Amino acid sequence: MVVESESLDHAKVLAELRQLLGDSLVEISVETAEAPEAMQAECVDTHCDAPLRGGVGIQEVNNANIVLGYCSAGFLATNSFGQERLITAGHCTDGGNNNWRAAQPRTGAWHVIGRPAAERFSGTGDFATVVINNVPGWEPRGLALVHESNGVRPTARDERYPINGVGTSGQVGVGVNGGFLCFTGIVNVNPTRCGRLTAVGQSSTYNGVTVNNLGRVDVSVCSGMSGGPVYVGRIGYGIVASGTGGSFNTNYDTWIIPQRTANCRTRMYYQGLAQVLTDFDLTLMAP
Amino acid sequence: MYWVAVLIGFLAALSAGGWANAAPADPLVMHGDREQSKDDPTVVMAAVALAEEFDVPFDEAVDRILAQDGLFVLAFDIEKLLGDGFAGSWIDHAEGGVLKIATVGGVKLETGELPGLDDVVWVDADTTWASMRATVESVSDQIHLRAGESSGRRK
Repeated sequence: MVVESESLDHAKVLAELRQLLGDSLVEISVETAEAPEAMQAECVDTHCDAPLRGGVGIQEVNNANIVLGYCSAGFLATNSFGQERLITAGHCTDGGNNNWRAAQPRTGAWHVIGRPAAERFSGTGDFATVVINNVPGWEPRGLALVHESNGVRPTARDERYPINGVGTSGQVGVGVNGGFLCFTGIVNVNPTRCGRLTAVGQSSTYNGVTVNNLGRVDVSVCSGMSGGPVYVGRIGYGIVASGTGGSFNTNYDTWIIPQRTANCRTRMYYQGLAQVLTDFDLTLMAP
Repeated sequence: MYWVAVLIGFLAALSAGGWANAAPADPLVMHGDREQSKDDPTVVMAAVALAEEFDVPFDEAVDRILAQDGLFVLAFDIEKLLGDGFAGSWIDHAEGGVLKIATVGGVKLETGELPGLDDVVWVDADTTWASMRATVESVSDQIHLRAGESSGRRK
């Protein structure tokens, strides 16, 4: 007879077995095995336990733990000193020194990732890195959360979608017009979306700053999705920067962000990832 | 003297191809195979979007998505080789998903200079990419100045 248990307390399991089976329990051998990674992953809505990965919601709080805003995690990288960093949008950190947190379904609470390490939010880019204070706890890896899709070709959710590398950048570092790209963010109404890259070398003005060299994808994007990863086919191309086009609201809620309204626009601008890695001397982490 | 040095530096930066933040050195680290799978959920989602927008069969759309990164690389390499003659690139899904390269002055690369050039469609253009980009930014700056600061701070 084979008894499977997720408990690591073998002695307790064996005691229960002896109590249950009595004398008929004649021989015991213990074999341990790890469940496949996909089974271990734990994501609910747009929030995941460790490992820290791209596409999950992140929250900015001040020293009094007052919530200041939401963005999305982009990619995980290491700097030239081997320190782990979370990449997100520069206008998310926006000159502040506040803590950023992510919610873990396992504990049902927000947990601090760290404070901004470096930032650019100017004409030459919109990107930032966040320190990961507790690397053993967060176990950051080069993964992204890809949500399921419905419709004519439904796809399953992939909580540990590997990001193998960065796309070779055409023109201003964002790709080539006509390419199709996807992104994921905190708003859990179709949180993974894909559309066509319709313009490169674009300028967009938001939060009082004109950012140049952006790519534009014809797919809607909502506030809170800033910083989220732009990718397709396991290759990272950018991070969500801003929106343009028609404006509308989307109501969403996750298990830890109840009843929130996001302002959305019909087209998304993104910052090229290759430039982020080059300018901040970063290397994407392995999946 | 200081301003002369600044001016020389500025001109040198321009002649080197424009912006310091433009296309970085490649390759960047890859942690796995660049090969992509037809079953990859993002490939499928992107292919669904492509198939709907351009009314092409789904399997054809998947093939185009799988070929996309290779076209990005090829366009990037062509851009580097053409320098100032480069005027833009795009994947034309209305014409079978071919890579089109716009150049000024009839500049083209010879077949054999790069793998994959046989399938590239060359298009004549009047304005270089760098010039168009400068124009876009200039116009954007003027609009921003005239419109004033955008209202509200959003993330």
